[in-house]
Amino acid sequence: MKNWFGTLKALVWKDLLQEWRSKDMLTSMLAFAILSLFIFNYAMELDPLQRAELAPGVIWVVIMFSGTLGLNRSFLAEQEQGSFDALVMAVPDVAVIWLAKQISNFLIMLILILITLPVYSVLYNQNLFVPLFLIVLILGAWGFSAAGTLISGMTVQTRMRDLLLPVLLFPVLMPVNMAVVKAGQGVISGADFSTYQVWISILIVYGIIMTTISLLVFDYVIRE
Amino acid sequence: MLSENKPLKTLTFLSILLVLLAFLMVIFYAPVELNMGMVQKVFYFHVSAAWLGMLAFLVAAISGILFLSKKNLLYDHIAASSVEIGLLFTAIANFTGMIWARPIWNTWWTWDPRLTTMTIMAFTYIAFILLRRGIDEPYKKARFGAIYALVGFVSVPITFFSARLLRTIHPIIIGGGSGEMAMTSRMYQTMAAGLVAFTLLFVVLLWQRTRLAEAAAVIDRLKAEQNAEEFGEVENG
Amino acid sequence: MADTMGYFIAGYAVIFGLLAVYALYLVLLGKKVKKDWEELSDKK
Repeated sequence: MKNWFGTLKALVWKDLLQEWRSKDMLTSMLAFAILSLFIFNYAMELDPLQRAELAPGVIWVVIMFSGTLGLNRSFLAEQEQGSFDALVMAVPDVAVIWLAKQISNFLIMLILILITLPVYSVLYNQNLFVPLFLIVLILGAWGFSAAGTLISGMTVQTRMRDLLLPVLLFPVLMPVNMAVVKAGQGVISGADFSTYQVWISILIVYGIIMTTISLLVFDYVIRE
Repeated sequence: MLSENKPLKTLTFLSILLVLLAFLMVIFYAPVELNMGMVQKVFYFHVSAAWLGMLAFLVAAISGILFLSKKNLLYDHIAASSVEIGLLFTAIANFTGMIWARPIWNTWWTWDPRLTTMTIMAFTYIAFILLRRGIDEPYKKARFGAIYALVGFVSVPITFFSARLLRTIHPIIIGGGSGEMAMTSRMYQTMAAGLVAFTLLFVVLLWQRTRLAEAAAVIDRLKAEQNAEEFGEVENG
Repeated sequence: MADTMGYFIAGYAVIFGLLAVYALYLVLLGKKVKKDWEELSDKK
């Protein structure tokens, strides 16, 4: 058990260290996210009240699109260097490989959220840095990275790669989209928790289901 | 190579016959609904198409799982064929749904949870087809298709549940109501006829398409072998 | 009663149209398979 956890930590650390050294992916994602927020300003010249209602949706869309950019890159290193085979030989338990990938993807999404939220709050003078909203986004990021890691593991091995990921991922993510936006709106408007509690349950259920399926099936993604 | 398959031929003719029969029932046997007029009759095939669209997805998902466990490419061919045909029926269901909505609620699109979920399902189908197209090696193509079919299939009920929940909380004024109507026995019978006809059609189409997929796979394999032979001769010669 | 005959016709045009298109696709696929098979048999 201790060995398993050690391997997991090592793999996650490897991915994060790789990213930190180049800072490519994270920088691009952040730039994209903040630029998108700027673009939204011109797309949504609304009065503050209407814009406040749209906030959760806008934030989530921006995070989703930036997250997709990140997912595309996350497996690219393994694919380009052909290190899938080396990795599988070093770590025979494929579930650990997947879990590590998912965790590192999730952590990167987390950083994205933690930076996008304050930026939005400043640009639009609406404090979204609310703990419960943060939790909603984090749950959404979990579902996103679970489904996303599995699917990008496949699309990175196809001819069309980057182009294919959104086409495959977004339909499957619909429940997460709906739940994040609805729960987010509930939180922001200060509504009673019971009114949007079910959406949070949906997010948790989705995360569990996608993680479980991925752990069962990822073997077929990496191994011939 | 595609030898004459007597049972399949008979079934094919039978299914075409049944569809035409059901259509005749729709025109002459089923009553015309009081408020909606003739367009309501689109309903008889719309419902069957929607149901079969979802059944096709189930078939694809199960076939995918069978492939992953048995490694037999036949299951992949069944899955891929089922997805194609499922897309066909889903498209029929979607477009007839929109054609029905237009005169009734004066809008082409309603964010009805069923319509929404069917459309998302159609996009999942398209994604499945594109994914397989992007891979050349047959076993990898089959593996990834199976995985995505499973993931997609699991997400559909969650999507439907969420979409329905959204609707109950925020009923939309345009296109409200699900178009429930009181049905007479004649209507039920016509519905049943449509369902039987379309289900048989689905089976026939699936069988035909899978046969063609199998044949194409054999040909691809033979072609590859022939190319290898020729290449080998050039090498030695 | 509303006159929605036009929509009825449109609906069934869609149904049979899409079915016909798919049937055509299957027929064309079948022809291609037969042709490829004959080519392969000749080559042998």
